[in-house]
Amino acid sequence: MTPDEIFAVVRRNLLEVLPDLEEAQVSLEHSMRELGANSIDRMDVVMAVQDDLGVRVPASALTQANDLRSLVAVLGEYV
Amino acid sequence: MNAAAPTGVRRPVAITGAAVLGPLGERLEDFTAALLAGRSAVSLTATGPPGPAAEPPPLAALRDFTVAGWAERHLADLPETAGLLRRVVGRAALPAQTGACVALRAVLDAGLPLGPGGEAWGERTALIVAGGGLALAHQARNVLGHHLSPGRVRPSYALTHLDVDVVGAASEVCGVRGEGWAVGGASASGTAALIQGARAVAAGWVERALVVAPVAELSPAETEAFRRSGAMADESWRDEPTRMCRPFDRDRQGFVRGEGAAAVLLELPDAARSRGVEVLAEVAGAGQRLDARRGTEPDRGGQVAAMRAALDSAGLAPGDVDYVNAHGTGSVVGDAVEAAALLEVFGAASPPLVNSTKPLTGHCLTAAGLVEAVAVVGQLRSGACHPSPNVDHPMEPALSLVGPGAVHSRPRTAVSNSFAFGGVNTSVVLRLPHAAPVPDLTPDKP
Repeated sequence: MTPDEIFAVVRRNLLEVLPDLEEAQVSLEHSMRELGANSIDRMDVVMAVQDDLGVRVPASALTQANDLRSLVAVLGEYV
Repeated sequence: MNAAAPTGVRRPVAITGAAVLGPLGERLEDFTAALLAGRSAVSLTATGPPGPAAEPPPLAALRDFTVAGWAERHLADLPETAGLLRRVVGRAALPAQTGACVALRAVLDAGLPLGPGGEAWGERTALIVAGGGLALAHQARNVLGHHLSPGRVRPSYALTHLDVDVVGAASEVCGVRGEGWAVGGASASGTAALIQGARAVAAGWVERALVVAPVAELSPAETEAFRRSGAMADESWRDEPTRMCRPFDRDRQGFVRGEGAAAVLLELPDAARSRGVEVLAEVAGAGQRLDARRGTEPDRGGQVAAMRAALDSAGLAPGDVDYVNAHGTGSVVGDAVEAAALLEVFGAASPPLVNSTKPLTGHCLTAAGLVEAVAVVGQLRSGACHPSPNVDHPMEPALSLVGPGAVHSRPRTAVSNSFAFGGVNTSVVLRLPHAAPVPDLTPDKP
């Protein structure tokens, strides 16, 4: 799975959780927090993405991710 | 009643915002007009919940509600608040969504500012949410979904199954930072929460109280349990659903559920005056009594004691009451017991007018008490009591029931009752402020 494909899964779930968000606003440079996701939103996105990808990433690895690019990279190590 | 003193509110508390969210209206004026016209929102649910029941139950349903739609109607001038509302409760369960919306409406109607720089009032304001076990349909969906595919449950369900999610949501959108919690008293929750709010303000613990009763959900399991218990109207008048809820009628057959939310903003009358806002009505007295008996059966003694405690704390005699908004669910046993309790408290000589709002709004369960308190405020302010459209054969001729048309009797002082499973009895005294002018009684039609 390419980083682009993983990013597409992340973006789809992020838009599902934050319906006010425009697709074009979601770029790799943003953090979910910057895009308006609160702690509970971020948990839902990260869990739904893992469900969709069929992976389980340890929480310790996820906390390293501070923007969508690094989140996609962390996920990529487990796909 | 020498035992009444501890439950009272001691001094009148002003209601400066009174909001509803339901099928009969989203503003106090619309809601009151619908009530006075005797309009009922009850229908047979077209798509009933899946379950063993062959026929869908009647329901006064909140149709087509969305947070975004509500925000467009109410927050067109406040885009920041609208955005905040959508972010905070856009995908919350229905109680948190409706609670946040109706709370905002009450704050706006009370003339309090929202948004950056506007939250100073929130520091000394309490938030009291009516109800317990509010998001039962949301809970059922998650439990059933988890059963079907474990591992798909959203982490946020850890928050959204809790009643306190309504506290968090309403406090965030309104900027309330004083104390806050949820008051659970089943069908008496709305009135119990109103009493707690009024007490907190009267005692000076807080400057203001925002009391919020969100829409209470039932899952198909609770709905079916109510139906099987015989408490729910189910069989007769199915071809005329608005006739199915028949409080105090000989042929009553149980309650009909309604989806409605309400909120009020409470403060001391002096505080309201110093802000230059109108006092819509006052909470003048309150009484709460337990039957000290577990179960579903009502108890006349507890109901009488609650009403007398409310009158005593308001310093009023039964003869001072012009109007009673009964709990009146349409329950076979419940209405008979309440009718007897009303006659015991008020006598048969010159009893106050009595109606029940539930044939029109449905029984809003944990929100009922606050929805009906707002209904009382609307009626007092319009100088009329709304119709009881379904009393074809009054079960108790000594009760002075409002009939099929509104009665323009200029009520100034009202009692509102809410009783609940668990032996919980609550009554409040609501009245127009002393200085309020006599309402204009010119009816629309002669």
